[in-house]
Amino acid sequence: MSTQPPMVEVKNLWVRYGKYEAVKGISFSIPKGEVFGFIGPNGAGKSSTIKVLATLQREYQCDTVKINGISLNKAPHLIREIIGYMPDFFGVYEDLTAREYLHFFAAAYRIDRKKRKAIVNDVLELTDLTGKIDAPVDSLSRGMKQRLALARVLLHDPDLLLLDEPASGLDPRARIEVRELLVALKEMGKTIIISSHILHELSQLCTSIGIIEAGEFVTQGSLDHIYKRLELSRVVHVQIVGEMNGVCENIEAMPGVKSVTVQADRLAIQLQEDQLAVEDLHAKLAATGVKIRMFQAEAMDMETVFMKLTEGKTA
Amino acid sequence: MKLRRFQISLPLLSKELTEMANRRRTYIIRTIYALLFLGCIGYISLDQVSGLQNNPLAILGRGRQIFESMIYLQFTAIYLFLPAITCSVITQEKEHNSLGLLLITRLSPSTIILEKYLGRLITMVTFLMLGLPILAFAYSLGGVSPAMFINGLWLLVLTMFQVAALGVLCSSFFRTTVSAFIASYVFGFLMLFGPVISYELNLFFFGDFLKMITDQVRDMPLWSNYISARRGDLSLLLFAPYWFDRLSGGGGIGSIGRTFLISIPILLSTFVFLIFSHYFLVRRAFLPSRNYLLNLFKSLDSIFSKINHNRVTRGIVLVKEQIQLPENRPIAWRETSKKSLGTVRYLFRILIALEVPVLFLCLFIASSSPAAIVPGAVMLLWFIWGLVVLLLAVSATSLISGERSHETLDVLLTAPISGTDILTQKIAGVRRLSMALLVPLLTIVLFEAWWKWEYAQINPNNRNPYELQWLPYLIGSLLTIGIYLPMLTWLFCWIGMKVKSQTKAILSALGVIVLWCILPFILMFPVLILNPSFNEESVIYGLFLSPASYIVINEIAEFHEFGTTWGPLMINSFIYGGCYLLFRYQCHMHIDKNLGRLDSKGNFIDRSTLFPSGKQSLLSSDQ
Repeated sequence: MSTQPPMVEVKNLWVRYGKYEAVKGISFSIPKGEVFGFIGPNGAGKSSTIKVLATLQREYQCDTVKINGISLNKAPHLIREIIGYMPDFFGVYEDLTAREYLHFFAAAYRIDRKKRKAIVNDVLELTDLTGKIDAPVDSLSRGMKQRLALARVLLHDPDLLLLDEPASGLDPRARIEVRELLVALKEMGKTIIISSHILHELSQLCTSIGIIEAGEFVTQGSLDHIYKRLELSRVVHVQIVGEMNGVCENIEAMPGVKSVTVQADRLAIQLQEDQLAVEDLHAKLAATGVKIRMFQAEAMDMETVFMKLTEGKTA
Repeated sequence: MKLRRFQISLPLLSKELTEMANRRRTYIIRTIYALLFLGCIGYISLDQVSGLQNNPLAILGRGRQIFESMIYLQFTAIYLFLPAITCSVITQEKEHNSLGLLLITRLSPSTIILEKYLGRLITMVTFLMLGLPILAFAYSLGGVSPAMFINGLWLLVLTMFQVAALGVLCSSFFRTTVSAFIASYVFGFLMLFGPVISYELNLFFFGDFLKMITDQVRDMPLWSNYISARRGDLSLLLFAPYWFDRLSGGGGIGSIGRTFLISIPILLSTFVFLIFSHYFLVRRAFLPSRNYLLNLFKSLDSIFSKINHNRVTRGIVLVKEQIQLPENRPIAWRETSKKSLGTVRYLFRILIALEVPVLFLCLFIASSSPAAIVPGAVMLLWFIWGLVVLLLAVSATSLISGERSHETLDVLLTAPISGTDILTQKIAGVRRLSMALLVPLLTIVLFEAWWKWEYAQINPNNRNPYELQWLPYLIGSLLTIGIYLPMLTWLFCWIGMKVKSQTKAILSALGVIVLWCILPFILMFPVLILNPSFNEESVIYGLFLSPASYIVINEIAEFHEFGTTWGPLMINSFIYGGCYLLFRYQCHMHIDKNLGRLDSKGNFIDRSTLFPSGKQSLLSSDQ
């Protein structure tokens, strides 16, 4: 019985540019189907690490860098067939149309000629660019160019997506569109490494994160795990109908509730999830007999995590 | 504190000079220039000094030759380097998106132009000042009159103003440094030699018009001695070295007066260039990315299409152009169907644009020259060679550096195409361009070979027998063209891989080729200085270390020192055939390293042994 290797396995990776050490011995492992968020300030070493995985970094030292069990040093040509890399710039040929651009890369990835047309149509549909198939690339908006770059990444159906700041410089609508696209890819079981500054978006997308600062990992793991490790509490917003007499005191008395703050139209309950789960809080509240109009758990506050763990240093 | 109010503030100039001082490149270039310049002067002076071992005092009074050599070299340096120095002055700001920021400051457009202009002039002055010790030495030897001294320096300064202003104008007009660079040299050439060519060919009756003007001017005082003998003098009004040559013979205040009079057209041209620079600065500050050549061809396409839609032809199309998508060689497809210098249809137009004037000029020259060597054809061939080098430098260096500049290289490199395959496909467009450029070169060479053959029939007892040897000439020329074109392509491609920015790559490529052509002559100087008894003839084949030597020697048939035409041909072909193989090998063998990605080192892992990813297929077309 063979056990599947992790999609990405990195041990003791160092990247140096002259005397400057961009990445200082980081190690991480990403199982298949995971969405790994690479978070860190500018100059932390995110792009350098992603470039190593994309076979675009010649000078680096490591104990192991493997993708899908293949050592990066030994067979970069095979690695290139299973990755889809999207740099933090567009990387599109402005003298081509969207169709020509995608056919160009379909040919570069040696996709069967008979299948190319259908595949190009599929990725354009997935990225909602079908209407722009014959538009010159230089006439597309930033968001469209970014989606076209994503379409290009998906052409050869790669196992691993390396996305370096895919939403940088996009307007809110384009950001949401890209995020929805990534959610769709996640649901399809793709392994994705994504670096971004937009922490809120990563928290909705990533199954695990790694926070990197000055070339070193500050922390890594699942969001819940990091949350618990930092003893950060989740805030639950509750609207209760009717009189509030003694309700706050009752809630505060519940084990796992850190505090209750009365806001204009709601209560903000700080919860320690390792002691009291969100759904248990709901059950307990209902059991007290209060009428609940709204019950909303706040998303993990990744900005708090980020600020708590990093000091704004660069390598 | 009060004094501060009277200080002149030149922020842009200060920034330019600080940047220049902070760059290590500035000092390297200055040192190389000093070595080249002093080497050239030394080489030129060597002949004068070498014959004087018995009477060292005979050198006194010979300062004139050294002075003239120095002035001509400085003229050459200005014409060669100043366009390159100035052409990026505004385009750099455009490329960095910082021109808009400058325009919204309190600096007026004229201040921006003038400060930028001054900044580059100071750069050139620092180069020219390297000639001061030679100047002092030449003056101390005697033979240089004060008038000649003033004339020389004044004309140098004027030329500097004129060429720098032209560079600034091109920089203000064009969007990119590369286009400004090419335009500076092309317009510079047209400005200096366009009128002479038009005069000689009497284009649009320009020759007749100039002769009429000359007749009027020659009667005017001051001018009479200088215009009367040569009717074409006025066509060289903007070319200062010519007037230095004409006026340096005279002396006294009169000569200086004439020099100032002669400098009026040069000064006027300088002002015109600066005014136009000012005019274009704001108007052309924010230009969209545009391929001028491609746009020109596209507009020609629409014109031809309109002409074709008439009652007679009714839009008939003989060869239908199909919009094809890439099949197996996508990079080659893009290079040969999307680039202006790679597409067959557009290359054919370039070929016609070059070939028709070449044929016309060959016929014109043939009907007017009675000599075995046709100077016009020789000049034309050298001009076409210059054009070939320029076009190859632009296209071959841009192959990789262009991808880097447009940030598309990383994406391309993550595709599973081997480095060698990328290179082979990339070069396809340049190969087509080489083929197109081959035709005018071959036309002139065949014309000259035929002319030599014809002349040998008519006049078999020519003074120089090498001038009549058409077969060695033809074989030598064909071999040179056959070797040089691919050699230059691979050399430029290699430079394009090494140098990160496209502009720097093109400038470096042109710098390398110019240096390669002149360096062997400069390097010869220390050998001869250290050992005056050294026999020059023993190293005569060293001339061929410069790729330009054989082309020049073959054209002017100066094979006397070699005693044969075949020896130089073999040596030259051997050297540059080797260089071609070397550059090709360098490009192919180190392609992944030069591109900056991991290479496969020949390890092969069967893909079928890989672990299956077990993921859901993304595309409906796979299901």
